[in-house]
Amino acid sequence: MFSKIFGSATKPATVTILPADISFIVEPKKTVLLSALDQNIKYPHYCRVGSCGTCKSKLISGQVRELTDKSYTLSNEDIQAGYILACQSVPKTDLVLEVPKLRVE
Amino acid sequence: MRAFLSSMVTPRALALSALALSFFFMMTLGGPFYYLAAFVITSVFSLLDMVGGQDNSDNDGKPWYYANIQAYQIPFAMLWFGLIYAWYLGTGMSDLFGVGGFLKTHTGFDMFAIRARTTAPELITGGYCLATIWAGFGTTIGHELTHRTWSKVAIITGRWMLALTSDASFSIEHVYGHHLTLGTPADPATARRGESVYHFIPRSTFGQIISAWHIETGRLARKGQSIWSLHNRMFTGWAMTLAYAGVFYMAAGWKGVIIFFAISWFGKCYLEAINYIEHYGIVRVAGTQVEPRHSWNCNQRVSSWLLFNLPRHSHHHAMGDKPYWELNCYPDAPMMPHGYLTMIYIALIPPLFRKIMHPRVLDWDRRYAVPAEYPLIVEANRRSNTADFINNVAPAE
Repeated sequence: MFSKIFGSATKPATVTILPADISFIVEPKKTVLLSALDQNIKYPHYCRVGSCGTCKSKLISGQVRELTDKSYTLSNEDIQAGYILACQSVPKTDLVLEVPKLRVE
Repeated sequence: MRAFLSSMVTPRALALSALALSFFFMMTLGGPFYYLAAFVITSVFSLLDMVGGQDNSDNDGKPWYYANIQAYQIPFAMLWFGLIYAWYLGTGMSDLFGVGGFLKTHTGFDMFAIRARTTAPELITGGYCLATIWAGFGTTIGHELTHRTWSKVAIITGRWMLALTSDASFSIEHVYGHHLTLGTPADPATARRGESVYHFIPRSTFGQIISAWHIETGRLARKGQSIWSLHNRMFTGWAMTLAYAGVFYMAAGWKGVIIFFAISWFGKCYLEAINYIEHYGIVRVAGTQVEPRHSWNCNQRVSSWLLFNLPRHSHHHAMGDKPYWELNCYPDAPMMPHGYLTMIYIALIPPLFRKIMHPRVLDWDRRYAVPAEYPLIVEANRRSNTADFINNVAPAE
């Protein structure tokens, strides 16, 4: 019921980052970026509020709910290529994202 | 229930409630009470700020619902103060929205009689009070709410608050401009070394409006929407301000409109004076992480209480997504020597401000700057036209 109204998952989602092939869990209603940071994953980021674009990530599969209007930040090409902002995206399903700058240490 | 009550009844909450109540009475009673309100704003706040000491507690544990009730009360108070002031500007038996008639019938409180006795100096003082209240509380809450970009209610409420001081577009520039460009020459809202507050206010104000225009039209272009439409938040923001001006027109005709804009723009200057002290002289390499050291922090208790933790600026800029009650004190950040409520007045006297802040800026160079910032410091010093900076060789050492 609530997930229908708010469009967000009520159970944890698994997010996989390529090409590093890292997976982590995102709890319901949490953003991809904050979940990654909470789990000490060095997700590229900078402002946390959807204004700088550092955490932009290509959505390969899955669906997200976006908290803010990303067209303040991302270019037309980025938006059409399917980029999202990790700091403003709450998973609706399991996700696969492409983040070249994210590397395993 | 007990936890709920104990979270409501804190010294901070009681102080704010008492203050809100007393301002409610002073601004509603009008007339000579405007003098009292002006005295409190100008003197009592600064005095309490000086003797109130520091509040170095982190995350004061306020539950979000309570802190939000506080935040969302402010807009109602701001609108009420504006409405009542506009009402008193009217003449004779004019009764804006029937407020006077309603209160007289139901409480016996006779605003018509007060208006008949109100003098021009009282109204001017009242305008000063309204401007500083709108700037100090309205825009502070407007700023807080427009950072919550994920909440439509917060954004709309925040923009209506910022429109009180004629600049709802602050909500665009601040979040998508200032927070990224802080400390770089691209940021209109970072005060440069050697710049006085009087030079800063117009430069920052118009610079931010131009920057907001570019950000907003860029967004519209990417969405394929026309600049000349209601999607343009520049226009909707200005319309909000015009709506307030319209209420003043209903109350007192064109005289009311002129007075509204005088108050609104004075409030905007006050807001920019706060902007001025927050980052004076600080530099940062464009594109690098904003860190707590890139803001002048302030943990003065009374300033923090009154301004919804805005003085905890270091944490705010390092993590713009934190709501005000989660901001920590960062005792090791570059520290402002006095509270905001004192520093604003000091900034108005440029020689005094320079005397107080320049040693701190030089200290910032030595203790907080990283080597990548040294060339920027040298450049900022060279451009400052101020002996304090030009003769300083600290970065070279």
